[in-house]
Amino acid sequence: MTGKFIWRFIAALASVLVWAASAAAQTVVVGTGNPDTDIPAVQAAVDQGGEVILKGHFSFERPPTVPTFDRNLATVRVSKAVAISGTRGEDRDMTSIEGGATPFYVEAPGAGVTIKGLRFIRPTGLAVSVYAVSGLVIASNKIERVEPGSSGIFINTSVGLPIPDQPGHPENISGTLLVINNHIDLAGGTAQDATIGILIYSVGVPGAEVEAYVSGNTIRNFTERSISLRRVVGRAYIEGNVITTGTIAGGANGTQAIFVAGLGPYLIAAQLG
Amino acid sequence: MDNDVNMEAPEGTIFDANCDAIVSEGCAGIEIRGDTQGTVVLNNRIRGRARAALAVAVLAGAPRNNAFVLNRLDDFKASLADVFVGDSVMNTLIAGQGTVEDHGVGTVIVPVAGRGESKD
Repeated sequence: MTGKFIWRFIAALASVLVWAASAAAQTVVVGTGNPDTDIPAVQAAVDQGGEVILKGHFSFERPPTVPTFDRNLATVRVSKAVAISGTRGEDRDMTSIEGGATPFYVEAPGAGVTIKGLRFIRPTGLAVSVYAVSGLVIASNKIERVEPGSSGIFINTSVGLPIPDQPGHPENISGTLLVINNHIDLAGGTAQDATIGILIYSVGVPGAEVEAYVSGNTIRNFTERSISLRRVVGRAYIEGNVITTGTIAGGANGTQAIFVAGLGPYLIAAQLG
Repeated sequence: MDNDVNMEAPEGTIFDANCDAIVSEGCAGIEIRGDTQGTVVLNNRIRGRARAALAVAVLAGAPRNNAFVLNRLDDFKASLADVFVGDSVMNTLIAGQGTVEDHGVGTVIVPVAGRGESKD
C-alpha cells in the first residue's frame, strides 16, 4: 500500500469507529451450542446495542424467523448501533457460529455497525446481509463450508439488479463501509448456483455518499463473482484482495473475479498516487 | 498490496459455452460495465484462464473514461484477448502488457513491455 492510501484508510477507519468509542454498554455472550439458547441470547444482546462480545461456539441451526427486505428470512436482526466481536485466535479458538440462514441481517437506519472476528460455519443463504446502516465494519471474519449455493457478504438495498429507474433504497446506506480482511470460501456451489463473495449494490445518494473499502479479503471458490459492485454513489476502493475462482462457472452471467457497474468511480488496485 | 486474481478454469474449458459472448456478459478477471466513469484498474496480477483478463463493456449505459494501467498478465491465457473493449465504450486508456480487442471509441493503447519482453 502507498503511504497516501494508508493514511486515507486510517482516516476512514477512525471515522467509522468514533461511534464505537462512545458506546458504553458491553455485553458478553457465551455460546452453548444449543440454538434455542444461543439465538435468543445473541438477539437480546444485539438489541441492547453498544458492544457485544461473543465467546465460544454458537449454534444457529434453527429455522429463521427474521423477515428481510427481500422477502427472505434471517436469524438475528441488527437494528441499532452495535459492535459485535468474536474472540481472536486460530480456527479452534475463534468464536464460531454454526449453521443458520443469514446469521446476521442488518437493518439499522442511521446507525453504525461492526461485525468482526467471527467464524461462520455452514451458513445458508448469506453470512451477513446489510440493508440499512450509516458506517459499517465487517472485518476479520471467516466464512466457510457454506451450504451449496450460498454467498458471503451482501450490502444491498435493491430487490433484483439495481438500475437507474429502479435503484432500490440507496439512501439507506451511507458513510464509510469497510469490508476488510475476511476469508470467504464458497466451495460447494454448482453450475446452477451464482455465488458471490462480497456484493455492494445500490448504496449512497448525492449528499450522503459512501466511501467503500473492500480490501485484504481472501475469496475462493465462487461460481459467479468474488467482488461485485453496482451503483455505488461515492467512491469505492478494491485493493489487496486475493481471489481464486472455483473450477465451476455458475449463473447466467459467466464468471468475473471483480465486477463493477454503474457510477463509482472505483479504484481497483492499491498503488494510486 | 495489489489484488491477486487467479482464474482457475480447467484447461480445455470452452468459455463460449459458459460465458456466451463477452459482449453480452462475460468471463473476465476484472470487468467494468454500465455508466461507470473514472475507474482505474491498476497494478493487479491476473493469472489462469478466461475469455479476457480485463474487460469493459456496455450494460444499461456505456462506460467512459476508464483506465487499465500496468496490470500483470504474465501467467494468464485469454481465449479472446487479454483486454477487451466493447462497442460504444468511450475513451478507455490501456497501458500495459497483452493483446487488445478494441471495439470502443477513443481508446488509447500504450504498450508496455512485460518482464523479459523486448520492446522491439
